[in-house]
Amino acid sequence: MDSSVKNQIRTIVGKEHCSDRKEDLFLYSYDAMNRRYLPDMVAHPSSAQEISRLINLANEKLFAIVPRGAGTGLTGGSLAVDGGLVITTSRMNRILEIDPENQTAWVEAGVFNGDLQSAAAAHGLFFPPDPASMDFSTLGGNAAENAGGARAVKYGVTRDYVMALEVVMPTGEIVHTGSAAIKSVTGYDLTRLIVGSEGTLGVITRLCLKLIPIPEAVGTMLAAFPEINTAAKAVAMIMSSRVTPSTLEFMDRTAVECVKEYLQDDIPPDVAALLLIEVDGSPSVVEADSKVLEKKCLEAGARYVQSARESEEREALWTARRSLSPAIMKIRPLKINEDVAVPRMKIPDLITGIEELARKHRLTIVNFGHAGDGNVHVNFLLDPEDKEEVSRADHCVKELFQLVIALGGTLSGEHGIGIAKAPYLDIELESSATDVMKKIKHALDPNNILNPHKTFDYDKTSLERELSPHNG
Amino acid sequence: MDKDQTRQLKRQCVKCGKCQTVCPLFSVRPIEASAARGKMALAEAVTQGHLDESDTYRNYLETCLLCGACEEICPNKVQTLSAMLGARERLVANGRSKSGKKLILENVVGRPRLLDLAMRLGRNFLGLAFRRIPAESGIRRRFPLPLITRDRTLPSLADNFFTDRYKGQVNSGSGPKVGIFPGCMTNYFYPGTAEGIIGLLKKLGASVYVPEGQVCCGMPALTGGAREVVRKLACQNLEAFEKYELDAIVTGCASCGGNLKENYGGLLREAGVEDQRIEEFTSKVFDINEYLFRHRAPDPREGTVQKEEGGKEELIVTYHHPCHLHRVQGVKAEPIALIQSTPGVRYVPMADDQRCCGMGGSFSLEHYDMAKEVNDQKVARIIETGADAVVTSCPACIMHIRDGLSRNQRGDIEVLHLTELLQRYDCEKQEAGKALDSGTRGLKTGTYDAEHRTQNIIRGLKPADKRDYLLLFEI
Repeated sequence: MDSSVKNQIRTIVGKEHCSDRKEDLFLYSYDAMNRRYLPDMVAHPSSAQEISRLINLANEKLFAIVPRGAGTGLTGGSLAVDGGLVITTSRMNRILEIDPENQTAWVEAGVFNGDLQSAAAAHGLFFPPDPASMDFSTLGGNAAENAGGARAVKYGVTRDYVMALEVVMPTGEIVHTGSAAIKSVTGYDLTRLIVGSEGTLGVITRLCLKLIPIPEAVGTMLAAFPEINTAAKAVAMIMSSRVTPSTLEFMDRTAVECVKEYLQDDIPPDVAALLLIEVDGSPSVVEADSKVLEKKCLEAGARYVQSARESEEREALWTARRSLSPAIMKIRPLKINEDVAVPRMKIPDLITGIEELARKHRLTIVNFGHAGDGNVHVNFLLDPEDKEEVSRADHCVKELFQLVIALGGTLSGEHGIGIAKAPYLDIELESSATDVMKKIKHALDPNNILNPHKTFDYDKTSLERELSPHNG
Repeated sequence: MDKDQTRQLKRQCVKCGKCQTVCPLFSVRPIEASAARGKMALAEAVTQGHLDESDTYRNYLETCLLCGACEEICPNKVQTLSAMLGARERLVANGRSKSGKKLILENVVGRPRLLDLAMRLGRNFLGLAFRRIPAESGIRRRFPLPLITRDRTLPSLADNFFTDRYKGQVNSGSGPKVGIFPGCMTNYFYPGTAEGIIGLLKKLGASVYVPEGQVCCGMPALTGGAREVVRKLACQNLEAFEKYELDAIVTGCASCGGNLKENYGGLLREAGVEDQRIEEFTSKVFDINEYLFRHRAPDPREGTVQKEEGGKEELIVTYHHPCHLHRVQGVKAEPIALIQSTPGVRYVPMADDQRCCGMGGSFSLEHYDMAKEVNDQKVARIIETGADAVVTSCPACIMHIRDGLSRNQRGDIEVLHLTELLQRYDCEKQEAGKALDSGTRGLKTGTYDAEHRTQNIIRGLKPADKRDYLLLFEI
């Protein structure tokens, strides 16, 4: 990127809102995947119009544009693997409207999920998608990655709550998709095309989101199991009962150890797995449903089932659960984090399969996740210095994906493909499917300006631009 | 800290971004550079040789309140504070600190007699540079001064510094031998707080000492990366207090207390002091809240309203937790219990009471714009409670919150050190009252005297010069 291009960028967003100082490039070189690719410049535009002008410039001068929310993604979706311009939505952070009667909200892309939750709660409403990073991830990013969360088991994922969008297309047009009406079948469903496109098909600038009433009551239980398999069996039994929990989270022993300081009670040594279960609804429904699920857990072989007595206790459990992903790094310095998902009745098969893989490849694997919707976070913990172990893990990841596909599952439940899973895409997708995606991408982004080398556009050479942790 | 250690500390930051949810600066400047994740990333890039210790780097690194909220919330328990201090130390070691800053740290903070002299001179010229704001018990500058903006209310330098009035043994009792470490801010600006501590310790029957030869604890130099300076000061303080063979060392300054307890161990060890001597010293340091809580059983009537007979109406107070007290020293429950056991006082909790007030020591001098915005959030929380007074336990917080209330036209809400509250509303009011009155009088006289001296100077001026001076005062 030459200096005349940089000057044009400065003219578009204002020179105080962009930078090519090396320090600033480093600050926008990473996300929660914890890899680093230096962009050529960073800009913080304030509107769709400014983004449109930046994209026009990119098409004219042929540089990459990489949209970024809060940089909390786990698959490198916001990394400038091919250099170019990183644009953040940090200045577009207004909640434009909350409509309590229609139960919708209009927000700018840079609003934090957690801030919308607080604003909606003032009207007795909530926004169901709740990724663990909800307090510090943006709604634009949540939509671009189609983020899930613990409540997905009952309430679905981000895509189910995005009604309409304002998007800047890869060729610079500002497009409005969808409708604030619940029913709308006018034209192609562009909203759903953009949601989950990982910033490759457009830059989301505004969103109309569906809100729903906060349930009157919530019941929280913690069920402890002597073996990981019995916990998996309980998941299957719960999910085939008539009660749909609002949360059904699974943590294995190692995962629990990493966050035990947040938990109020000690976990007995003979407990190998925990299920964190919630039901919501009216108080009488919550009480009845809790009993049903408690019984199912005990039938499956739970050692005990404990109810959270106060909201503080519930908070503690959730803090523990939401801290898991970063906290397990305490064990080993390198983590390969997969978020595979299978049809929920296949959870026991998946868990057994993972245990076998861990034994076969002599690896430390920590499992936790949203068992109720079949989404398990499989974490390989490694020592980056041990090249042999890292290579074993690479093989194991591949076999894990093969297992998941054999069980009718998918590579990523909620984190996205980004650069992390791009090399494995063909394990799940047939070439005819990737071809359709490529055609769409090419039709909308003929110059491959927007977030190149992500998802199906795997490019080994560009990934080698990663900054090494060593000198030089 | 050596390079490997810093690398080890930083490697654990997995860039999840959770620190941004609690970082007070991120809330007013939502950019990657504000919270710990960004700062760790920069320090990491420098350690790995990808980045130079540039002015921009230094500026980003130093734009931090060091409140420790990030360390507290970090799921990986990354030691962000040590990492940040380590990075600042390397800046100083490599000659990359801000021009002049190192000189000031070494020659003023590091040379106690010079600091004392500066304060004495300052006191005499205070009236020239500042005018007193009658309703808000503070002063504001009269003409442009470096690092101090027009709208900032600062405390006046006391007419009588605490350590001038009290030296060596100041009370003999049958109880434990307790030494007082007032700290610089208390000594020079709020001697009433330290006098209050004497009063409270007297009531416990303690023999109270103000050890001579004590110096600044070194906190400003430590955060400025000048570790050597602090090492020297630590040794001087160790020697000053050792002589008295005390049972306890008490301070009313959260920052000094935190420094003495948490950092002195490492500093003295680096200076070659034997472990046993270090342990002897550091294990005796107590914050006044902690000490009082341990030595007088908390009142069982917690939270109940106790009206004094025929006395004034109850005082509604809220409490702000100083970062260096609740995070660094873990003293949280004690001040609340003490407030709740004070008759005539009703405690109302404040939302976000553990969030930094925005002072951050010298941070507020260099970045007053941000310090002010963070402080405005704190002030809003205080006002929400409807309290008559906000109590806290750190002179720096008192200064900053008083400034914030005054800026927000709520100078009517009192800002009290916990010891002041206890003194004023304690059962044994009479005796205690005396000590405080003299303390407060000291403060007031100090300010008025400065004003008075200024008036005299003006009176002595030629009419033309007088006009210029008076104009100056209106700036």
